[in-house]
Amino acid sequence: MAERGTHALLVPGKRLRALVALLAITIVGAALRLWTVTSRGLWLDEASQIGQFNGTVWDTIVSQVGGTHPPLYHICMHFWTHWFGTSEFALRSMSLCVGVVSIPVAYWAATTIYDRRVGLLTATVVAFSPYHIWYSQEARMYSMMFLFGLLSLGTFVIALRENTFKRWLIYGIVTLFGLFTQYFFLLLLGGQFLYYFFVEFWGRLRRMRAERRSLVLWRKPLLVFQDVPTLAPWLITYGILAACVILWMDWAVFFPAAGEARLVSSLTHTGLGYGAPPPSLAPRFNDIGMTLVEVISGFHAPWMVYALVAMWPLLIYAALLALGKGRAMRPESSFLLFSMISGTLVIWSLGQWQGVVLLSRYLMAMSTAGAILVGVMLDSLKPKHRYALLAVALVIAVAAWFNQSTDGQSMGRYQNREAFTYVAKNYQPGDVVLYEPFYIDDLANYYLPKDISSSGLPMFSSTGVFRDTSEMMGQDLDRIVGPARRVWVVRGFQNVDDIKANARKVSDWFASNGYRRAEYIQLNKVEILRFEGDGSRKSPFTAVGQQ
Amino acid sequence: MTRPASIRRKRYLRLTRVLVLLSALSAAIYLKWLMFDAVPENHVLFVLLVSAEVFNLAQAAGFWYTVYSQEWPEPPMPDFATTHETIDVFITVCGEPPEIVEETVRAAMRIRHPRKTVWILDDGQSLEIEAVAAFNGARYLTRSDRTGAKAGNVNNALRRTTGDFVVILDADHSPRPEFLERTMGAFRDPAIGFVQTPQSYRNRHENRVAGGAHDQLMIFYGPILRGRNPRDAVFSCGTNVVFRRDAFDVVNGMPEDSITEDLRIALLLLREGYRSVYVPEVLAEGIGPVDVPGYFSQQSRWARGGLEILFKRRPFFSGMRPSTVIEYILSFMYWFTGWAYGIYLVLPMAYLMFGQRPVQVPNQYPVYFLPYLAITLVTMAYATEFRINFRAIWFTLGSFPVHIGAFLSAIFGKRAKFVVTAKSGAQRAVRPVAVHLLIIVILAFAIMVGLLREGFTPSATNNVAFALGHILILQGFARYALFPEKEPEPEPKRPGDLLPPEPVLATRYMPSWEVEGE
Repeated sequence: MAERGTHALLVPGKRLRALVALLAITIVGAALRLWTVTSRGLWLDEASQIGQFNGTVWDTIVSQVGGTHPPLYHICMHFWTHWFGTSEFALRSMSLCVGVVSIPVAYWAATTIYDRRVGLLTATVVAFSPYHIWYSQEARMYSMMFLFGLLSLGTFVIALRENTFKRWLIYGIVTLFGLFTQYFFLLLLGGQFLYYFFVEFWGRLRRMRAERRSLVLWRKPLLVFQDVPTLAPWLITYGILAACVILWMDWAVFFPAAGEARLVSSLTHTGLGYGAPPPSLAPRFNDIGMTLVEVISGFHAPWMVYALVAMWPLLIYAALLALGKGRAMRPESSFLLFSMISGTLVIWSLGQWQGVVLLSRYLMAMSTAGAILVGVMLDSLKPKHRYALLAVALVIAVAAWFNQSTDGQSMGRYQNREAFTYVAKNYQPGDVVLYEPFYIDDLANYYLPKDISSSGLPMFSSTGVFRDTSEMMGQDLDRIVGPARRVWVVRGFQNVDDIKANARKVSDWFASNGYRRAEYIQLNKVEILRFEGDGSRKSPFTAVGQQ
Repeated sequence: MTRPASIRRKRYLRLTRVLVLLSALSAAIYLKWLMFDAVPENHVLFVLLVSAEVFNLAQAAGFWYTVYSQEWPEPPMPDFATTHETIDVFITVCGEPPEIVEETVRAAMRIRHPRKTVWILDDGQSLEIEAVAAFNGARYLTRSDRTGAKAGNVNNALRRTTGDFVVILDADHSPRPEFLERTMGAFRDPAIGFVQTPQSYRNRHENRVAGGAHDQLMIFYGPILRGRNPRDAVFSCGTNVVFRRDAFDVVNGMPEDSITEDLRIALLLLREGYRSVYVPEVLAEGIGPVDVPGYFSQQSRWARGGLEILFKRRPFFSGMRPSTVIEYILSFMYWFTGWAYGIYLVLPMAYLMFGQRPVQVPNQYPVYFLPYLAITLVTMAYATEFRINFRAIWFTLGSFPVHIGAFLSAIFGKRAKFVVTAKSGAQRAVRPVAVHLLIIVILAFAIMVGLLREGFTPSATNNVAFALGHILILQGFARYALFPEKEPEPEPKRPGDLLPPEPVLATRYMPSWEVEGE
């Protein structure tokens, strides 16, 4: 790759100014993240992992074996929750810290690949990006994935330049951390691998082929080994990475305790194990558009997201504006572009079959390259255009951050906290609290006071994931509801096919057992129903006991 | 290590063909959806949309067809010491500044050939130009009238000269010394009537309009003319071209019945059995239009001339190779681009202001349209060796009023006059971009009306995005016309020195020649 540029900020005297600017950017980024960190309650994936942090570290690792995620984040959270507890803020504070650290790391990565000005611009992009702020406020592994992605890109470029064992080893370690944070990190690694393979390795092969023509026959095969010393660090690093991943995957997939490996079944099984639509090949343009909109502008109400997705023609003009830039593109930019596009296309292609993969968080690793490229793009503009565009973009970003933090209809917001708090506030002794689907029990347990017991509703399956039948469901409801006069139902995940089917069955059951719907509250992605009976119903189990 | 050109070209052509096939496949899928699966909503708009899309697809298919088979002729370099041909170099002048003409004359005098004569054909009857000729050792020809414009000027010179071959250069196109060494080898084949070389603007870095015109030309003088080479469809472009005098004699000189005499003579020579060769090496550089009126004037002349030939001069004849016919049809089709773009302008206006759209379920549209567009853009970028850029595209699309105007005047208007494109003195002008400004205002108004009428619905924002894109394209010319670039300060001249002995203008551009060619 080419040597670094020679921007004004490379002058040593201006280094301090750049660092002061970076500090200011980081403080603003931290404030934006901290300010609204608990503005939304936990959602299912955040709550469901809390139980995994109890016990020993080994228990935490084993809980991830055969699961859908590698264990590094959970190991870190194990210690974090032991030190700081499991309040909403404590759960999210690790992601928040990692998200804040990502800002100077983004500066470092961009400065390593380009120069300080691109570094500052990239740090600004990361600090103000509503998408990155959102995941810095979520108790999941995505902000950590972003951090390791930045480190991986930076160390990869250093390793390419210096090609020493030490540099490749550092790259290997941070990349391994990334891989053990989230499996989709592999897509970023794939981009790096393919770039190296096609640009460096293939280039050497081509040169060798040219040299071979002039050689005597017996010396030709020896040329294959000629470049081994220079390629060795790279080959060994990737060998170790591959070995670690294969060993873990072998364990994860075939671990006896895991039963049916969820990692494999989650991509191939009908309904993904929670009643989602089964995989099918279909063009999902809107979902692709939504991932893009979320990465660019964060999480907003559906009407706004759909309106933004519909502005896809602007992509055409962006592509036209980019035409002709290829000739002037530096190898570093080609590498970043390749890393970003290759991984994104894999996700988008996979999503045409398995629709639930089309989520913006799975593009997190590729967003590292994207953030730096935005910095490069801004850097390539004339100063007056650059700062004007940056100012406009920052105003829009802050507005988007404010909206995603306050808009109750935001597509990423699950108002479970509000729902369970409402139920707890209006609970009367003798009430029965039910929730649906049954697997949001972690949320119910987290938000409901300990003295209120709750149960999951039985699940009638339309997709074949759950084996309950209408009869079984009726018997279960008989048993759970008993003679209660007031029954609360908190229903989440209404977009899942099975929940829709179940909701109808549940309503029918209550109607046929003398209950009327006394209250209905629709929150974002959660609804609360209160059924009131006429008091005539007796529990079948009580009746049996009296006999 | 640089690979030989032949290997690079083979790889380029191979990948280009793969991309062409992918583009054709994606285009077929899109067309199938549009024609058979899309549900029309407003039938008039639907017909308009389908017409524009079919036209665009035909143009794209034409481009793919052209770039599928490209040739890079490299005629053998002749040894002029052993040949006997004589060369006349014609520099056509009609009011251009003497400094520019002088630079061309100096460059022409440096062309390496022992039996060449440089002629200035001055339709401006200028004493200064005559002095330039005398000072630099060139011959000077003028005439009392200007009948036949540039063609008449050349014909007048043909009657008074005897060279076996004739090089035609515009007044601002300075040839390189190796101009004849690179081109004359092609005439070993007696069927070759003329050899064309690329047109390139040396002021492309100093002037935005010239830069845009240059970017646009690079597509034509790149893969398009290379692709027309094997199909005998290269046409003369009026400058940087070498003609065989016998060929001129057969068709009675340059045709004076067209303002694009270069295109016309190419067709006449083709009819007489002559073939043509395109040497894709920049051997002369000229000065591009420096302002929007100048650019539009040039485009208007080319468009009107081309369309007049199509409508009134029967360009096609029996015995013409089908591949040649296709290439010429594609050339003429280009001048209809304005109509297609006009339709695209109407569609967002119709929805935002009146709620009318061509098809229902518009969110299916990108599923079929975007893959086609993406692959087509990649093909275009690769085929032009990543030279195509946004400026080249908006120069083409933004010229739509000129193309539509040329079409109408070619059918209904008076006979067109030959107008020399201004090469200096950029002026602020509103009139040439009045249509652009009007449409920008209408589009902005439509955006407001649409959002107020319908709110931020997907259908509304989709059309808003299209409207914004059109504004982005149209504002370019408006900006260039309203805020023309200031000319660089002229270099100081010595008092009383009309024609300085130092080749000031010629030396100004020498460094770039040395880097690129010598």
